[in-house]
Amino acid sequence: MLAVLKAENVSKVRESGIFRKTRREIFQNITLELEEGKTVGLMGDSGSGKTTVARIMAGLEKPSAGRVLFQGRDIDSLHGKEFWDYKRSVQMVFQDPEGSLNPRKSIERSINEVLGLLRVPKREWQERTLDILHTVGLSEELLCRYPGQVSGGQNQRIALARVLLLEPRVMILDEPTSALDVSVQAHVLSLLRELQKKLGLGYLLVSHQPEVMRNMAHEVFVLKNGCLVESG
Amino acid sequence: MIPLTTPAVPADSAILAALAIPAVSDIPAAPAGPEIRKKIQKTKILQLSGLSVQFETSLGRVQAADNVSFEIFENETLALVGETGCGKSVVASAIMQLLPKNAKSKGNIEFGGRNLLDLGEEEMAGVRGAEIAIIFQNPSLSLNPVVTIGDQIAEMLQVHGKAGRSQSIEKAAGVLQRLGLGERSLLKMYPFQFSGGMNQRVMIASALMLSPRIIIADEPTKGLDSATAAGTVQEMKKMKDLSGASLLLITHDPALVESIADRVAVMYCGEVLEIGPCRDVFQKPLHPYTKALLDCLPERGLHPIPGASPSMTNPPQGCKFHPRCPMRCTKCSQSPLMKRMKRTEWMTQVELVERVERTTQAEREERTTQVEWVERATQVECVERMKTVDLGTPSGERWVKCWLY
Amino acid sequence: MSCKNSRRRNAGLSNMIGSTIRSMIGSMSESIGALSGSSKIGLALFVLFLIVAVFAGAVAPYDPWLRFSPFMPPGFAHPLGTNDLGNDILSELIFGTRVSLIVGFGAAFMATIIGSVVGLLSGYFRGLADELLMGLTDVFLMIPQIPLIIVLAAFLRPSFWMTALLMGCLWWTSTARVVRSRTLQVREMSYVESATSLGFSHAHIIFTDVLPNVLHVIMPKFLLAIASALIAEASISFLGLGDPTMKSWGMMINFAFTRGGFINGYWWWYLPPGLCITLFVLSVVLMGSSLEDREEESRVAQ
Repeated sequence: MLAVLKAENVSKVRESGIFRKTRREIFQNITLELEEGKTVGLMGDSGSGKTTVARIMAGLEKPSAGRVLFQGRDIDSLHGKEFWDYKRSVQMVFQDPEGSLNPRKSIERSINEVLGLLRVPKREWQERTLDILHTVGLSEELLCRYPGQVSGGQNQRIALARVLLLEPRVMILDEPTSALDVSVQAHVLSLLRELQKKLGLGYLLVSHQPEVMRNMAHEVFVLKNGCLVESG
Repeated sequence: MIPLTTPAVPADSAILAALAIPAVSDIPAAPAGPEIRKKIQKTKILQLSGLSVQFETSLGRVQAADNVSFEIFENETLALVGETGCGKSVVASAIMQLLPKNAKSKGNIEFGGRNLLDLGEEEMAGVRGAEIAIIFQNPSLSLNPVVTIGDQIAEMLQVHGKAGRSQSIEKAAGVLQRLGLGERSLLKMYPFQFSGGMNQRVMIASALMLSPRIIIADEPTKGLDSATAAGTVQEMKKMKDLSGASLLLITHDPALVESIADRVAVMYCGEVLEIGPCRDVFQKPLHPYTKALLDCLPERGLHPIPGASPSMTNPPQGCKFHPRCPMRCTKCSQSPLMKRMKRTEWMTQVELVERVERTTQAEREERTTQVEWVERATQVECVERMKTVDLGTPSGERWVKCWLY
Repeated sequence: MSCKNSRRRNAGLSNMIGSTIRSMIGSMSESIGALSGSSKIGLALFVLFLIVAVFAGAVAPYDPWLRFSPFMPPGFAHPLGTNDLGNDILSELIFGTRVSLIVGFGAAFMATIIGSVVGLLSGYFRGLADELLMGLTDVFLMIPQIPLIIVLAAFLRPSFWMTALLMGCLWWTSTARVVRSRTLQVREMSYVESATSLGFSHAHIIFTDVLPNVLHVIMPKFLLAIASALIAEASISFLGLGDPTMKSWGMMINFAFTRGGFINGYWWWYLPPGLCITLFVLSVVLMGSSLEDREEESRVAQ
C-alpha cells in the first residue's frame, strides 16, 4: 500500500552567521512512512531534531536535502487543488496547549474561522461546530470563552477539533501532552486513540516519554545522533 | 445478593511476613530491629493542621486549600501530588508565607514551636532560606544571569549575616563539590554558561547553604525531558542524603513521586484526600481518586478520569471527588472525615473495595445498598478485627478521606 | 447557543478589520480599567483636553479673533487677559487646544499606521522584506528629524496639515521597531503556526492572529507619539515656521515672544500655553508609560 506521507532521505542542516557560516547537521537521511490507521512514534532527546522532522513532514519547514512525498508525489511539485489536498490531509498538533489558540479569539471564533476557510455554508456552521465538539468530547458552553479561560487539556482538544474539521488523513502530533498533567494526558491520548479507531487516522507521534510510546505507537523510531534507529 | 462474608482476613502473620513487618506482639517484647527503631525516633518538624487558604478574586472566593493537615518528619521526603490547580503550590507558599495579598489563611503551621502564620515579616525572613528553603520550578529563570554562580550561592550566607564574602564563597565551593561540581573555575562562571542540569544543582546548592531543616521543591521536573528529569531526581536524592533535611516535593507527576518519596499526600481541589507511605499508596491506593490518578499513568494503561476538574470557585458539596467517582454513593454528598487506617485495617478494606469494584453494573446502581453493605462489612470487620499492627511510627500511618472506609 | 453575535463574524477582509477595531476598542477599555493612580490623573487630564478641543466653540467665552483692548491683565471679563491685538487669551488657548491636538493626533496616527504596517510586514515575512524595510527604517532613523522638518517647513508653504504629515512620515521608525520585535515573537507562537498549517491566508493571519496580539504595544507608542508630535509642533511654531493662520499653543508662545510679551512681563500671555503643553504631554506620558509597564508585566508573567 502506498504511504500517505513519506519522508525520503531527508536531511537538515542549520546554518548560522552571516560572514562566518557555521553548519550544524541536525539529522541526515531519514526515511519515515505514515499510513492511515497506524501510529508511528518518534523519540529522541531534547535537541535531537525530532520536532524538526515533524515540521518538515507537515510542510512547515523545508528539508536541506531529500524530499517529502504525499501519495507518492513530491510536495514541492503540488499545485492548486492537489496542494490544498495535501494541506488538508496532513495536519499538525502542537506541543504548547496554551499557545496553540489565539488568546484574543473566542473558542467559537477559532472554530468558525476554520469553517469559513472550508467554505462551509453558514447555516451549517452551528451543526458542524456542535458535531466536532462532540467528537472531541467538549460541551458547547465553552464556545463563548477565551483560551485563557479553559484548561490546558481543553485547549488541546479544541486545537484538535479545529484540525479535525479539515478531515485530515494523517496527523503529526508534536509532544501533544508533554506540557499536561498525567490525568489530562490520559484524556487526550485516549481521545487520540479513539479517533484513530473511528476515523482511521495515521499519526506521527513525537514524544520523549517511552511509556507513552509503548501505549500508543505501532512502530517506534529513535532519533539518535542525527540518525534514525528503529526499535520496533 | 452480595457476599457478606468478610474476606478471610489473611492470617495476619502471613501478610506481615510478606511485608517484612514484625507482628505486633513482637514490639513490646523484644526491642525492635534497628530499622524500626530508627523509624520510631523520627520526630515531627513541621505540622500543618487545618490550613485553609482563601483567595478573593473577581470571579468569587476560591478555596485554594481546605483544611489541609499533614506533618513532615525528620529526614523524610513527603510528596504532595495533585493535578494543576489543586492548590498544592498554595500550600508551599503558605508555609513560606509568600502568599499574595488577596489571600486569607487560617489554621496552624507549626514549625520549631511557632505558628508560622503568626510570624511577622521580619521573623519570617529569618526562617526563609535558613530553616525552610525552597527550590523553584525553572532553574535557568530563577538564577540571576549577570551574577556569577559563586556569588549567587554565597549570597545566601551573606544576606542572613552568617559569614563574610570570602568565607561564604569558600562554603559555596564546598557545597558545590559535594554535589559533583568540584572545579573552582565554575564559581566564576555565569548561569547561561551552565546546562539546565548544572543550574539545577546550583539551585540545590544555594538551598543547602544554610543547612535548612526542610527543603521545598516546587515542580522540579516540570518542562524537562525525561533524561534531564531523571538527573534532577538523582540530584534531589543526593541532596537529601547530604543535608539530612526533609524534602517536601510538590509535583503533578506520580511517576516522580514513586521514584523519590517516602510518603505521599494526594491533593484534589484543595483537600488532602489520602496520605500514606509511598509504596503502600502506589500498590494499594485507598481513595478512588488516587486510584484513578494512578490509572492515568501510561504504564498503567492511560485510563482517563471521567468528567472534568471541578471549578475552584464553586466546588461540589461533600466529597469533592464524588461527581467523578466511580464508587460514589448517596452519602458522598456530605463531607467525609479524614480517617486513620491501621495496616491490617486497610489491607482488608482494600479487598472489600476491590470486591465492590467487581460488582456488576446493576448492583452498582443500587448505590445505597452498596454503601450499606460496605458499612455492614466494615462493622463485621470491626468485630472480628484481629490484633492490629501499629508500627509505633506515625509515618507509617495511612489516612484517607472517603466514605468507603 | 449562547453567543449569537460572534457567530456572524466571518473571515471576510472587512469583517477582519471590523473585528480588529473592536478588539482595539476592547483593549483600550481594558487598559483604562487597569490604570494605576498616577495614570488615572493622566487620563483625567487627557479627557479634559479632549473635551475642550472638541467643544472649543462652546467652552470658549469669545471668538479667538475678536478684538478687545490690547494688553489687558487677567480680570473678570478676560480671565487670562488679552494680547497685543486685543484677542481674549483664554479663548485663544481653548481653540489652540484643538489645533495642537489635531496636529498631535494626526501626526501620531500617521506615524502609528506607517510604523505598524512596516513592523508587521517585516516581522511577519522576515527575509528580504525584513531586510529592506528595516534598512529603510535605519535610513529614517539617521535623518535629523526636527532640522529636516524646519527645512521642509521653510521651503514648502508652512501649512498646518503639512507639518502633521511631515512629522507622521518621520516618526514611525520607533513604532516600526517595536512592532517588528513583538511580531517576531508572536509569529513563533504555535497559534500562528497552526493557522499556517491549517491553510489560512497571510492576510487572515496578520489581521486576526498577529495584529490583535501586537496592539497592546502599539497603543502606548501611539500615545507617546502624540506627545512628541505636539512638542515638535510647538517648537516649529515657536521658531515661526508654523501656520500663522492656525493659532496653536506653540504659535501663541511665538506671538508672545515676538510681540514683546516676554520683555514686558505679560506672563498671562506666554505662561498658559506653555503650561498646557506641559500638562498635556505629562498626561499622555503618564498613561503611555503605565500601559508600557503593564505590557512589560504581562510579558514577565508569561
